Amino acid sequence: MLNFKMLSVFPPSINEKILKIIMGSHTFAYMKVDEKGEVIDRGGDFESMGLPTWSIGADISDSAFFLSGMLPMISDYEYLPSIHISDADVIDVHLFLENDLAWVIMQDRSDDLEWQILARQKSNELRLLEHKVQALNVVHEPTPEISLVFQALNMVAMLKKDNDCFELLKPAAPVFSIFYPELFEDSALVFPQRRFPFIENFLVDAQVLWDSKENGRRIRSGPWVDTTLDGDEVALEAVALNWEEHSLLLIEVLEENYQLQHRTLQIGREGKLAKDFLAREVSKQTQQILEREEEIALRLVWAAETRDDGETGSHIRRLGLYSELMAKHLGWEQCMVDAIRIAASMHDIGKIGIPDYILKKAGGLTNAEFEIMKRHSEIGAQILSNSNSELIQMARDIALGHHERWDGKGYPYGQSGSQIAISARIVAIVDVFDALIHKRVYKSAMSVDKAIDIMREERGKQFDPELFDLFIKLREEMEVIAKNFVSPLFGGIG
Amino acid sequence: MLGAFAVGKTSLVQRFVSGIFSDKYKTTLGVKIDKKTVQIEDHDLDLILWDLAGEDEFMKVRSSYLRGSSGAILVADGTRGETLEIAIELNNKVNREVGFIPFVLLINKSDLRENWEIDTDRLAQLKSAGWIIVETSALENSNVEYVFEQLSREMCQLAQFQNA
Repeated sequence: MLNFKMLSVFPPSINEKILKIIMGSHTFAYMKVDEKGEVIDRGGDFESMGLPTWSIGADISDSAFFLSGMLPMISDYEYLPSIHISDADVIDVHLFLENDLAWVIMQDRSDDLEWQILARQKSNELRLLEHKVQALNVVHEPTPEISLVFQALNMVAMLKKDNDCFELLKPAAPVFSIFYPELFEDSALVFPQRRFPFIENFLVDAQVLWDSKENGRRIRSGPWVDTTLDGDEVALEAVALNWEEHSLLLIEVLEENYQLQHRTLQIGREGKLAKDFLAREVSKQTQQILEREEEIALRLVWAAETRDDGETGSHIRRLGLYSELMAKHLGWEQCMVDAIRIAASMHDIGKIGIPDYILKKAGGLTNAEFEIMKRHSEIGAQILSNSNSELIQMARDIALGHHERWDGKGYPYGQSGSQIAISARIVAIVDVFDALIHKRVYKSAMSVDKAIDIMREERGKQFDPELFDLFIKLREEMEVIAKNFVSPLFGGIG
Repeated sequence: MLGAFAVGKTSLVQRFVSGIFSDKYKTTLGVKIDKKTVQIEDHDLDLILWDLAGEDEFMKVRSSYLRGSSGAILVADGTRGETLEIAIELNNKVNREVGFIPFVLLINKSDLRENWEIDTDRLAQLKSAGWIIVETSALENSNVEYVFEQLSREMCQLAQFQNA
């Protein structure tokens, strides 16, 4: 900083000499700039100071960043020290106002900066050394150098002694003061198992390790959460290790690693909970949809078949349940078991195309009338055709095939054996069974025993023999279904 | 405290020890240890409660954590049927590691009974095998104190019997 008062003391000749000394000791450059920032005159060594060589007439108001806000000058003199042009170039800037023009004198101070940096470096090194000396002077006992490392890692290290006590390798990391203040008392002997029940448990495994005397071997306890004096939680982990001839116990305050593990586990478990919840909801919704579809199907089928006094709502329901039972024991997938339960009820939907006088006829049918009646299989299949739904496709197979016979003497196509869809073969059996044991307008109900005797005659003829054998095996359960779903109009089984 | 994850072990402990409940799920990593003193027949009993991290495919209960236990509380979540079998399997683990100790099975979250999926036949089976099964709710503080006190009583009785 220029002391102008001193200059007025010296004669002009002395001032001139002082100026020469100053100018000779540093590199200078100057610019004469108007109030708008246009260069009127310039001179000196811009390049060695790392400055652009602004030409006369150039507008430096943007490019000379150190003049930002300085023009037009409002005082006679301004001083801008230590302007860093680059990492290596530092200048002092002096601005003088003369006749509304600014004289900008730039002085190179880069050499001075180098000395400043060196001095600061040395000063900091000295301060660090003083700090280390102080730290060393605090320790009253000789400690293994390694304990300083443990301290830096937020651990406390203890040497196992006899009689269940441990010698603390001081100093303990300061963080332990908030939940294990005993470590900062005078005594070097501590009993961590008294403070931490978890450690008491861990010491069993630790002792086995220490007894092994295998140098370098270690075991970790796994994390546990304890509470600070303020009631906050702190995560810790213990490590037992053999180090040369020493048995060491380390207790570590877990920080980022634990937090990361915890976050990861939290995300994983929340994800699983959400997935399980969604799966349950989907299952619930699916079940509700199935139940709704089933109810709609049953009601529609019943409505369609209500002209036929033999086809009560209960009969339709029972057929579905008998078929479901058979399908379950055949090991079908649940979705197909559910499908046959509904599809079986549509077996006679084709009767909607049969005239009333035939459908409601109390007595036997003539040959011609029977031929018309037989068409209900194909009519039903036609109604249920061209569907992408597996359930409707199954219903179609049942409608078409439930009057076919194993021996090929059925209708409408005289298919035999496994040509007939298995769903139709199942319904063929249970439809006859239910019809026999329930009253109809044209007949009375018969006993289950008698019905089965009659049906047994048709094993291998009308009925698939293997399916019939399964049906017999499930007889008791079939009877339960028969009893539980009784038509209010026609009474129960015989 | 043993059970699958998110069945309410930590909530039950917090309810019992501190009388508080939070509906925010915060998973337990490792073990959380709490203490509470209860009075059993004019004696003070210091309980040290080990709240173990839940068992699932990410994490299994360390056998060493079971060492030295005097009693076990198995917890299942009434709204998640699979947690019952996990609790039963953990009881088998306790038997293998520690031998027989008094235990009780809690079916937690009784406040969500309308969403329960627990197999009642399986519960009946366990009851007939002598299991003590209690429905609890940490949220409503239902049966929480009762369970800890009952188990404490049993642990005391067993200890007296063994000392005699």
